[in-house]
Amino acid sequence: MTLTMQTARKRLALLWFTGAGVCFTVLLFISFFARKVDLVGLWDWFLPAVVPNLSLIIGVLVYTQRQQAAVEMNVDEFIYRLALGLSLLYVLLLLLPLLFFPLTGKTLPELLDISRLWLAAVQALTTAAMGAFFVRQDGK
Amino acid sequence: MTPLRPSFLRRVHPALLLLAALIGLAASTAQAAPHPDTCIDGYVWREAYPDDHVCVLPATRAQAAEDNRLAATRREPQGGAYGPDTCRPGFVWREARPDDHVCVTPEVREQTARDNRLAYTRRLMPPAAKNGGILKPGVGKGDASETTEMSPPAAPKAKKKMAAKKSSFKLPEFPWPPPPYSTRLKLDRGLLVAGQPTPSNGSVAARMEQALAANGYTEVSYYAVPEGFAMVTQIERIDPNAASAAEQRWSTQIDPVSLIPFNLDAYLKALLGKNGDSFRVIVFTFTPTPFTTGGPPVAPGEAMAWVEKGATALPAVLAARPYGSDTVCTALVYEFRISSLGAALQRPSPFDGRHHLRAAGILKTLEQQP
Repeated sequence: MTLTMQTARKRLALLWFTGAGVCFTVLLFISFFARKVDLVGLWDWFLPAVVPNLSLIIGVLVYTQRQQAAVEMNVDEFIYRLALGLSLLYVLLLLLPLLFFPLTGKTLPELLDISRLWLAAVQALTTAAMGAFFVRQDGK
Repeated sequence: MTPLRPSFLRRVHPALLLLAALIGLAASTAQAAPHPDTCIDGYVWREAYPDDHVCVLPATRAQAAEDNRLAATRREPQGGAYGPDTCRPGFVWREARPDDHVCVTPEVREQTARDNRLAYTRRLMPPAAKNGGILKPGVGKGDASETTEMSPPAAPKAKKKMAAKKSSFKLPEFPWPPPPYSTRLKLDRGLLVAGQPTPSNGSVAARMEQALAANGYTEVSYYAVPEGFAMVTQIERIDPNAASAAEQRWSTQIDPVSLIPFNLDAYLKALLGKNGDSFRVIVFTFTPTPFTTGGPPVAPGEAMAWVEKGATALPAVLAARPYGSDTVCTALVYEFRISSLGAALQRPSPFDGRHHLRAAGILKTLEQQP
């Protein structure tokens, strides 16, 4: 089965927005109902982790919306799967400390600090793969 | 027998007079100087064994005498695993010095060890004065912690080096003015100096340390503050009434939510940081200088490190200094809330300083001391 560029982009966008949305909801919940928590620290961890990639996705989607050629173009399977796999891994790693910290015995700020290490590595790879998929394909 | 010739007597006579004068001078000097192990007011020699000059409260000395009297009745009549000195069940060796095998209760043994540790803070003459400026806890005769002498060739040089190093020891400085606290209490002077006509910093610190130790605060650190010193307790978990927690008192760990079986209510509580406990650090400042607070609120991690970074005892020079009539002891209570969402200073505390110190047992112990 061949996959069109527009479908592939939408799938990636769905994955990213779902993951970021869950994180956003949890943080919003904590911001409203928790006391004595460093909210600035929490949002400072979250926003740089998702905003660059979400901006890229939205930008490309909006830009190519009216370009019929780009919409119907077939995708490079390998790059698509690589971008999808890395994105899935990244979103899971993002959700991991936020949803599982009550089970670890560590505090949320402690876990978020630790998570910066692996998120930084995976984010770099994911962004590179996403960039290659969205931008290079668009260049063709 | 040959009679002494007059010329010999004439030569020896002045020498004898000089010798007698020197002996007299030495005797009078010895009489004028206090015994090097003289205790500060309120303390007496323990005398658990003949040369035991560790300074303790009179009640402790009486306890030691009573334990000595009952020693034979507390030993296994037929001996045991530890030879003829094996104690009956429920008793342990006192170990006022390494070979002290008088059988006592575990509480008395613990008290004895504590007294040995604090011995140098309770002497009138600080170790530095006795020992050429060497600041060495427990160097006095009769101290269980007495150290062995060095070999003769190396000793003078090494001692000088050690003396120079130790006499230059400075207490680490406590952040000043102190960071904003949760609550405070000015302690009644009488609680700290009662029964001491000439209290010193050392005697007041020893009394406070004893009151703290009696309530389980075994790690206390010292800091310098303007014209005085500060004592810091280790962080402890407290219950909703500000009393020391019965369980996990010294642990700052938060219990994780169990995954199997999963408890949604506990999970949501943890997610919102409602699973936390309160913790407390008490800083006792002893200074005649009035102060306010300054700087940002202290981070819990920083307050936890206070006890690690402070000195283990007051330097002898500072300990020997008189406790001024205008010196005020203020207890600053730093209360923290540690939950799964992190740690934060609780300001103000739901309780006042008196409640905190009473709940911790410290006030009661100070009030009961002679």
